[in-house]
Order: sequence, then structure tokens, then C-alpha cells
Amino acid sequence: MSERPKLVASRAAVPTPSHPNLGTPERTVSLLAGTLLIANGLRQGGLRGWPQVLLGACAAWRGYSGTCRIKRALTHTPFEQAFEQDRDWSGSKIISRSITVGKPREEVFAFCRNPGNLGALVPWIDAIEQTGEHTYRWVAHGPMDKTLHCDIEQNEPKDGRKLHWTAGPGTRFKHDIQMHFNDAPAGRGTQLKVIVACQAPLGAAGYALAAAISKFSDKALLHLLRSIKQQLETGEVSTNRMHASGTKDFLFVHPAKEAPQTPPYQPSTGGNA
Amino acid sequence: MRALTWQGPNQLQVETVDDPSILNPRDAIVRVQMSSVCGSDLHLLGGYVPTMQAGDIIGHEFMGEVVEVGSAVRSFSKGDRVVTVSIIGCGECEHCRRSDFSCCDNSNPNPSATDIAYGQPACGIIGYSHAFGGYAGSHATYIRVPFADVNLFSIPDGVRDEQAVFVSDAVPTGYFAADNANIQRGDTVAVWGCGGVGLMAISSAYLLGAERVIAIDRLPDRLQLAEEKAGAIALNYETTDVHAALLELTGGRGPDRCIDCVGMEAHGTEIDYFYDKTKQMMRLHTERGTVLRQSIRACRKGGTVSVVGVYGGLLDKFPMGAIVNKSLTLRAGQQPGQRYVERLFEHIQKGELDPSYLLTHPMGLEQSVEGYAMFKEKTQNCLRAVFRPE
Repeated sequence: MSERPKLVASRAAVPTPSHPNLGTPERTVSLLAGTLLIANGLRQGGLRGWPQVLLGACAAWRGYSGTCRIKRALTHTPFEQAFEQDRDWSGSKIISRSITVGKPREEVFAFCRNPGNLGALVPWIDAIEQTGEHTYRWVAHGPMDKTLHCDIEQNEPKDGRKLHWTAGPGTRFKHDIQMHFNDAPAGRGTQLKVIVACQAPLGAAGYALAAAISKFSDKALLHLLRSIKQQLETGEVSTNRMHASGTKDFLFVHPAKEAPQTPPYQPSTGGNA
Repeated sequence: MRALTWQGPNQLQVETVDDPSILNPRDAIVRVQMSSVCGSDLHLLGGYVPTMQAGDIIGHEFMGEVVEVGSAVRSFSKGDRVVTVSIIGCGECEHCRRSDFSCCDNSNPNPSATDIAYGQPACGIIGYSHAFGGYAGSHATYIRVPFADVNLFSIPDGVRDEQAVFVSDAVPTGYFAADNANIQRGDTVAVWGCGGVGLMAISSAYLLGAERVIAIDRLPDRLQLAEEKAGAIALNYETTDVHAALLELTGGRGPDRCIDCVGMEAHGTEIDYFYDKTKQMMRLHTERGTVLRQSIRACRKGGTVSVVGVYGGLLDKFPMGAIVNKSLTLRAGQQPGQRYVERLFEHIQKGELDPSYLLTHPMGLEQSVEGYAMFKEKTQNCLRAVFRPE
């Protein structure tokens, strides 16, 4: 029997009255606040009073049952908690996506370890400059014609099986990106799993903000992984444009420019591993 | 070039747009010579398929002549007379290698909408909304075809343009429906919908060994074609209790195989139709499931229900209990036409299949707005209006 892998998708259990996720102080505060709100709402009555009664009833039920879905949504996942402990981060928001590329692992790894190949697949990346043996500066064009840059260190902790990128020193919000390469079963090629961690400071509010931003990151990751797969399997990235200008992505419309060049890479012929 | 564009629900316009150009090495540019309307376009026209944008060129069933190819195209060159399968395959992914071209992983440049809606990104489809790739359609002077070596097919000598154009979509969709139904020799097959796809499904069912095909629709001209051209027993659901008739015709067993060629805008006379219509108008669900429910209910125990009618989202009152307790097999999909095109051309060359009668109204592209109005309203016995860009 194979070992159960650690899943980024694992979440805190859904709370029930028999398995509450609130402690005694939280429940007491909720009950007291709810009772006060109900009493005040009944005293006031009318359009101002009844919403208080409703809110108070919710709070009282929260205290009585000991369950809170909002707290659950803001609870860091088991994977995030383990990651924070390992990296000594105060908070993190982690997303993950996987894709199977119908090419041998060595070929997929060789493609992904070249930042020039990945950068060519991201519409808003203008340039990637190597600044050290393992460090690169990624230059992107942002909204309102702003140029953004990020120094990233790239490592290969497991040759042919894992790539690791971390934001360089001095970066305001730390990022940690892992790309895992595994052989897919039955000769289907390579399973590529990307785990993106972003530091989420400021407690629950920071976590909620990072969670909201991660929706965009997740979409960008989906597009990048599909583009990697398309490039490796078909030799090109599909497009619906009529012309080589006026590209559009999920963030903003870029000014017209020359078509992105096909990455300096030719996939091998001959199919799967 | 001139093109028919979608401007909003039930608003089409012929306008001048830029010519397409080669963007990827495996692209080809085709000068469109014939481009047909399709029943699935009506879902776009009615606003039932989200992610359409004003200015989108529609149309996906066409034939023409190659005028330019990308540097990696090997099998085609300028001047080739070709038909294009409307569902785009890359030819390289796991699914395309299994001939499941309509499950292609690499042909949709906009993966996020269907990733959310369906769990994984769907394939790209020519001229069929941004959720399916946002590719410009074929009701235009020129069209860019991605992965040309996979999706273009040379039209053999002896196959006329008006036959070849339907090998783009209607014929392979009908054939796929019959193939998916797992028809055994001697089977009785019921086909709902006698439009272009339904008529081709009837003919395909016979080619694949059906003993008898029963066709269901409400339009007398289409039912007449089903009888005269395709050899089916026609039932008009407005004047017949379809379920009772199907049992009566099959000794109480029900049809062995049922094929839904109608999809999300099914019509009906029963209460469930009005329920569906009301919920659809209120945008509470996306599908009208009358045909799906009828076919599942009618199908014999242990039989197969094959669905090629287009459904896009969520359906209410789905009879899952009948599927489980009658041990039905439900199979569905967009057509992987690349799998069938050569076989279909052989059938046409041998005279076993002639889809040319689907073309009832040849028109110029400039008249395409009127063509769609006629097709939508089913006036003048319009089965398929086919546009010839000038």
C-alpha cells in the first residue's frame, strides 16, 4: 500500500457541535454579545431593532454550538501550518496546481529549469537577467506602464525532481515556489506539481487578503502550466488572436507590441516516455 | 475581410474586420468557400452560452482552400481544397493520441472558464465562445486554423463542395452519436431531433447496423426528410405520445439505443418543458432537459443513451434513478471528427451517404443575418443555410 502523500488541499475539519472549533472564551463572548444584541433589538424594535435580533441570534448560536465557518475559512491548512513551522514564517497562504505533461521527466525538467523558457510563457514578463550563479532578476511590466522587478534565487534541491525558487533578501513579502517532477503512471509522461507559498502577515486579516489575491495567482498558475504543457507537447502555445498584437491576460490589457517569440526550445519528437 | 459577427443576444452583423494571419508554426489560413449555420450556433445567438463578446465571428462548419501555411505544417500547401473539423485537436496530447480529439488538452487558450465550470479545461472549438478558446469563426472570407496537420483534411476527388462542407461538423457529429451508442446488429435506435446532425445520426445508425431507426421532431418538413432521405420511422411529438409510441413500436421494450441530437433548447408539450423554459428564462438553470428525460425514460433496460446535443451547464430534474435502476449507459461528447473524416469520405464516395440535401439555402455572406433569422425561425423549410463569402 502506497504512503498517503501530504496534500496541499487538506483543510481544517468542518466544525460540528460535537467537534467545535471555538474555545470556551470565544463561546462565552459570543453568547453574551448575542444575548445583549437580541435584548437591545427587541427593546428598539422596528427596522433598527430586528437586524440586531438576527445578528444576535447568529452570535448566540455560534456561542451555543461552538462552531464558526468564518473561523474555519481563516484557519491555516495543515500544509500551511507545517510549512510555516518549517520556514519559521508567521503566516502563509499556499496554492497548488498539478498537470501531466506527455514528455519524459528529464525533458520537462530541462525545460523548466531554464528561466528563459518559463518567462517566455508569461505574457507580462519583459526580461529575465541572470545576476548571480543562482539568482535572476525577473522584470515585468505592470499597470500604468510601471516596470516591476523581483530578484529570485533558483535552486535544484533534487536533481531532476524538484526546482525551488525563493524571493531574494529585502523582498517585502516572501515567496517560496516549489516545482515537483514525478513520472506519471503507465508511461503518460511527467506529473508536474507546483506549490506557491506567499507570506501572509497581519494575522487573520492578512490571511484573508492573501487568500483573495491567491485567486488571481491560481489563474496565472493555471495559464502557465497549460502553456508549459502546450509548448512541450505541441511545440507552440495556443492563441486565439487574429494578429500578433493586442494581447490580453487576466490582469490588464497590454499595449500592442510584437508577438512573443517562440521560446528558444524545440521539443523532441517521438512522444511519451 | 467581411465577416458575420455576434453583437449581443439575437444581434448579428456583417462587418469588415482585419484578415487573420499566421501566429503559430502549425497554423494555416483558409479562404472560406462554404460555411454553414449549425443548430449549436442558436445557443450562442440566444445568449445561452456565456463568454461571448461583441464582435466575435461565429460559424464553425466550413470548407475552403488553403492560402497560407505556417512553417511547421507538413501535409498541406497553398491551393489545397480542404475541410476543417470544428473541434480543435492538437494531435499530441494524451487524449488526441487516443483519438479523443474533442478532449484535447492543448487547443484552448482560455482554460480558466471551463476549468471552473467543468473541473478541467475543455478543448478549443472554432467560433464557439471564449470559454472554448475564443477562436474566430468561419462566417468570414478567411479563417485561421490552428494545428492544421491535425484539423484540416483534403477533400477527395468525387466529393462535391456541398457534401464536403458538412463533413466539418454535422456528419461526424451524427456518426459519433451513433458510434457512441454502441449499436448492435438488429437494434432499434431512436433519434431525437431531425436537424442536420439528427439526420446524419439516422443514416449513421443504419451504416453501423441498426435494424430500424425512429426519428422524433415536430417540424413536418424535417420529419419528411427523415423518412424519405434517411429511411426512419418519423414521429411528431406534437401529435404523438412519444413514450407510448416507442414502446408500441418495440414490443414494450423501448429502443435499444437512444440518441439526443437536440440539447439545451429542447421543445416539448409536457409540463416539464414549461418548467424548464421558465427556469431558463429566469437564468436559474441553463438547460431544457425534455429530450434527455424522454430518451432516458424510453430507453430499454441495459440500453445506451448517446448525447451529442449541446448542453453547457446545469440541468434540473435529471432522472438519475432511471439510469441506475435500468442499468443504462450514458455516453456524451463533442465530436472527435478527426477520427471519422476519412471513413465518412469513403461512405460518400461509395454513395452510402449523401449529406448534400442538408443544404437547403445557399446564400452570400452579406445575406447571412437573414439566413440565421430563417434558420432560427425554421421558416421556408430551412434545414441549413450555407454562406459563400464573395
